[in-house]
Amino acid sequence: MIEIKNLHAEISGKPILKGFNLTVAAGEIHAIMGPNGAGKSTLAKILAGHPSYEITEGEIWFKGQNILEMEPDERAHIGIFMSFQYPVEIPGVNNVEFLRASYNSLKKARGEQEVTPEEFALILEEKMKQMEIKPEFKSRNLNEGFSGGEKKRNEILQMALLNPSLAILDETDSGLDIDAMKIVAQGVNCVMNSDLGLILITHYQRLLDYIKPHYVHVMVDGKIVQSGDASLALTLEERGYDWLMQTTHEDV
Amino acid sequence: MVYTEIEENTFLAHLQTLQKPKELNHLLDDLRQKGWNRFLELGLPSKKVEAYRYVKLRNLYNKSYSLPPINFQKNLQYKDLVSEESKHSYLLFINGIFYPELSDTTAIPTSVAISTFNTAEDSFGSFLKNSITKSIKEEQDAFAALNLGQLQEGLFVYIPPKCVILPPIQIVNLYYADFPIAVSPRIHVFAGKLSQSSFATTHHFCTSVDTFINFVTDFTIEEDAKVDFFQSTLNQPFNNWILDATRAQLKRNSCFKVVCLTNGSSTIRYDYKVSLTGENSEASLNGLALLNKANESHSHVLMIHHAPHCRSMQLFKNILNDNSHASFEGKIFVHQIAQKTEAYQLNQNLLLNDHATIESKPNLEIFADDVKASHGATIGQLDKEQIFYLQTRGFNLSSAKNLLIKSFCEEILAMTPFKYSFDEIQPTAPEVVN
Repeated sequence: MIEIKNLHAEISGKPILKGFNLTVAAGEIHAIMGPNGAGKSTLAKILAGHPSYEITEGEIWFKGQNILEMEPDERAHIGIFMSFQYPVEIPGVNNVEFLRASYNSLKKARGEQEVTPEEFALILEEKMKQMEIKPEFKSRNLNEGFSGGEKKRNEILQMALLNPSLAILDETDSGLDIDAMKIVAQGVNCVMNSDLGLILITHYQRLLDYIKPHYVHVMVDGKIVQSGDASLALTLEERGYDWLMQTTHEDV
Repeated sequence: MVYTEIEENTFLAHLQTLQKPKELNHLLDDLRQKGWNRFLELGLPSKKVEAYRYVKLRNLYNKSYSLPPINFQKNLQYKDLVSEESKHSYLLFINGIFYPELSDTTAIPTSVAISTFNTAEDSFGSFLKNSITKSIKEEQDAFAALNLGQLQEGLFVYIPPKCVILPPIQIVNLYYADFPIAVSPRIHVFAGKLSQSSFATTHHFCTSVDTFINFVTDFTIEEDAKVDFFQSTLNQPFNNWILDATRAQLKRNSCFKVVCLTNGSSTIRYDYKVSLTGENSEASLNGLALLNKANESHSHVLMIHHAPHCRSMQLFKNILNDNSHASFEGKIFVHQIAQKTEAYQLNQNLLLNDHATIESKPNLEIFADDVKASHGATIGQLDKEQIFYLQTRGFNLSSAKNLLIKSFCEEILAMTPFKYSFDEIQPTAPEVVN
């Protein structure tokens, strides 16, 4: 579904991604782990279309299209979703109105009929029930005054509503205590289906106790240095990233 | 510099010619004389006057105006200008003159007295005279003094104690002329003890000639009374000068709240002086200016705490596009006796364009020692990360920007007595961002 080939990217002239390769098929969960500064969050932002990064080499193919020239909203319209590590707060914008506008923008882009506020209320109701989100969520402003856990749950709720084909979750577990993380993980599992490709970016192994990946990749200095199954995460937990970083340096 | 002085002198001489001749009406003649004298004492503001530093007065001084026509067709269309909320509680002014026969006051209790200064003379003459005389003595703004000096005819509203007026009273100001006009409307409101009322002034121009509106609204708010005041100068023609002064005196436990919405014009300047003279009184001033092209909007605030345990809040927001220009200058003055004061002031500005200019000058002068006060100003652009976030959720670039602008406005829009959609307050069509 998505094929990232030899991706090189930089910001303000500083190279961050240095030949990144990854292929994710529908129904697969890929975890990308790695030390701070490896370029994990950059990868997520580039996939979503952040304008600050310059792609100097490589390709990203999604459902048969090269998406590199596409705007972030166009990528959202064809089914790419990114959950932010730090979701922004937008005071003065009601959460439900935002969710409906977002939902309808996708409908519109696909040439489908937009839903009325009443129809949307029913759709939202069902998703919120599934994700065990409290009703007062609706009357609040977009992420304004939300706790870390609430923001991440709001991200997963958006993912459930927008029903993407590819979801990139950037450090969804960061800043969460174990209970909040369990709830968010449960939400992700609830949304996961055989048509969805999932890229989980995480620093720690603990999230993978709750969301089982099919593949684990280790990213160091802008590229993948090691890939394996779920057991690789456990090895990393035990040994840290140092041994891999040493290997990489030897390669160089 | 010399040239500017010549312009000032010419304009001053010009203003002299706009003085109304004596009408042998004791009250009006007397008030005009007091106003004109005070204006001469204060002097026509020059560029050096701090309060007018950011205002391009020269563009006013090189114009000439006439007094507005008195005889004109009265079949002007004005019903559409009346807000739904005020359809039975509006007062129509044409070129600064109140037309009771064209107004609808059926939703206002009959105990409320609404009359021109002329007709108020019999019942409220000495009261009105004393109150205006006191107000003009303390006036520090030359144009507000000039307003009284060039008074055509004022409006007096008396709200008796305990009277509650539910719908907002809309003061619809309509301007109509074939030649440039100078208009000086003046409104005095006396809100009796425990009364509640809400006023709204709106300005509408059925003319494309230059106009100079020098407006004053003066409130005396008695103990436990509550007054809301809404000012709107949305979508004005470009060539207007509007100087709009609000004066309020608050007695014990009273409450005064102002909300102002503007798109600016050649120049629109709001000048506020609020005196908290009774304990536990509360004033809240709020403004939102959305500007484009070369429009200007200026807000000048003087909030004076004379008594202990009072609260004052100020929130002024500006959104500037194109070559527009705005300024905010606000001072909170806390007298030594005014202990336990709470006074807050915030000016937030959003610049959408590199050519727009904002000047912000928050100011505190505190002589009491037990005071909670804060002041601040922010100037920024739309947040790129917020835009990116919205784009990843399917919003295109312009709708993401518009949503963020809307969110910036929301806090002030939520306070207005008339419901405005976001599109209605835009200086142009929804696409405001380049």
